[in-house]
Amino acid sequence: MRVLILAEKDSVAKPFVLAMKEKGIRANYLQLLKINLVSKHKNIQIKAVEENIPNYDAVFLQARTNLAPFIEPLIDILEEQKIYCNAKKGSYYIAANEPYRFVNLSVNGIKTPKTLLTGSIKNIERVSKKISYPLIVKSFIEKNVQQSIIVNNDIELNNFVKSIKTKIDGFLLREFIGDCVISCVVIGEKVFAIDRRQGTKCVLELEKGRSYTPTENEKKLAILAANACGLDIARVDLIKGRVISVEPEINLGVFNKVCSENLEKHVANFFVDKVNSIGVKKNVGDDFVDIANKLSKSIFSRFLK
Amino acid sequence: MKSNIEKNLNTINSGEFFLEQFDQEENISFLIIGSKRFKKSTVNSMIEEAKKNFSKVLFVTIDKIQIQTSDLGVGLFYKGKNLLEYDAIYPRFSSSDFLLGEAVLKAIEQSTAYCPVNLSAFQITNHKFYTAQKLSRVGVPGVLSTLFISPKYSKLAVKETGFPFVMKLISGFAGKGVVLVRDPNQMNSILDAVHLFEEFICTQQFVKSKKPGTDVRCYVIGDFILSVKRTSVKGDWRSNLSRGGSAKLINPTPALLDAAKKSAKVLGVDLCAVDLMDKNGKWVVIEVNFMPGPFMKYLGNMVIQEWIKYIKRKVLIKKRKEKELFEEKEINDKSSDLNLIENK
Repeated sequence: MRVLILAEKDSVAKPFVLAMKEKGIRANYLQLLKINLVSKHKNIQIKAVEENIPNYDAVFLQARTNLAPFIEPLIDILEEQKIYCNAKKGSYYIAANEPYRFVNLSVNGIKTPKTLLTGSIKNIERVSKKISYPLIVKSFIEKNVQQSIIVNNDIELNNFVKSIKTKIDGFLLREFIGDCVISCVVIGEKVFAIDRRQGTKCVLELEKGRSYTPTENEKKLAILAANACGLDIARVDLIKGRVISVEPEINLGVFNKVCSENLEKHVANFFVDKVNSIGVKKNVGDDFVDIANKLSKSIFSRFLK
Repeated sequence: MKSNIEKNLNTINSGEFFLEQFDQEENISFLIIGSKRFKKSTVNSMIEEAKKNFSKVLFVTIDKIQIQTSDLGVGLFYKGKNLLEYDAIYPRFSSSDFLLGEAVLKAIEQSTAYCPVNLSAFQITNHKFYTAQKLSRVGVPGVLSTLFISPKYSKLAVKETGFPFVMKLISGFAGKGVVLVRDPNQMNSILDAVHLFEEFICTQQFVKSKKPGTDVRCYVIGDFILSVKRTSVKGDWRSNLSRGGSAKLINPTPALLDAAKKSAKVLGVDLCAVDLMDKNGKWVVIEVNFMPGPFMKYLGNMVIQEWIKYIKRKVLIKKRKEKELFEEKEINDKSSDLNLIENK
């Protein structure tokens, strides 16, 4: 079984490569920057300096959402070549655009806080009448958040509107739910969580949270949200049984520390199960290496030398 | 040119396009959601034409819409009106509308309204490389294209395209963000600048046309194709009309028709425009337009009229089918009631 770890940095990929190798997977890391996508007539290829990607059974992808314009055609090619990937077609477009993500979750019946979106600053005050205070207001330029604040009343909202001097592409107004965030990592059917509660207070930093066993409903919600966004492996944040964020990029370091887990191993196990269920590609070269390895451990090792 | 227009219109009218007769009194509504960068003259003509065909017409730009998500689902509103209740919705978005455009198109997909375009086509057509990839997979002749992130690894791409090549910003439009790169020195300086702005780099083999500065735009309107030859202003190798130039109607060749129809089919759209160039006597697709301009300066209202007529026809067919299904269900319900009475 061959799995390629596609990431931007070696430090991100290394723990996954090690965990997969421990499971007997032929795992390699390839820097995303080294890839070229080529479209010739009826011949679409992923070209990389040192790798032949079609030889792999699966790709584990970890990339920032702002790389979506590159990742989406890449996933499309992987799907066409029947190479399993933890992110499905369209998932990076969803992850890269918060308004689209909320609409997508809602359309798929996933509970989210009530959210309103508009492109016009003139509409904000009218729109705000549809949600009760306090609320979270975000402004966007293209798909990037420019400002994100909590407003408690009309005066604060008015001040926010007045403070905007640049041309904004859109605004998001979201019901503010006064509770602590439960941050989850979804790996297939498994969910690992950190509760950001510290006594009676909520903490902003993930590492200051505590290991938490999600309820069955929370587990189900986190998995459904990840899948609705086209992801088998994802970070999902919940508040009071509602989804507030779904991201394809997972930083397992903090989760491992707080939850006393080795989540890379769970990722490796997930890939083993997934690839076995799809069917491992027959690779003649691999067979030779396997035979050579077995022989090297036997009495015939001297013949190999 | 007039005779050409008449010829094309005759083709439309004699084809299966308007074989079905519909009740003109039908109460149907039509919503056009415009881009933030909408062109006033185009919109005015569209509204005028729509009013002749629909009983209720509304034009609203995307930034004026309010999108609402809650436990009840998704709603699109404008001044208290539920926009998803319209019978037909034609979103005309450009790459500048991505933030709300994807959300609006996703919401429309869940409604019962007829929509001649879709979300996936919006994402693909606003991405030069993704378009080339999707089309070439189904055998639509295209231009060799590459996509990469880092200028450091551009050699692989250049190995494919060779010099000169055309470098395009993937979200560029109207001929903007397109550069002809002639040699490695020029390439390096351009790549540095592009990388600085964190843009992705799409390169395409330079197509040396027999007639430089000339291309063909095929308006796809369902099964009907309207072909227009465009010529650029002298000295510009790009033939994009928004940069100046001229246009005239032509009779499409079978190769043009095939490429345009296949392109629209793979994207799943009823309305779009496919731009093609002559590469050594063979037509190749350069790009597909999600929100094509109707070339009013050269073609008058012709394209707009066809768009509106097509949308109306699709809505009427949909309504007729719904009515038939409803009547069928009523008959079935009545007969099952009668069976119940008889059994009693």
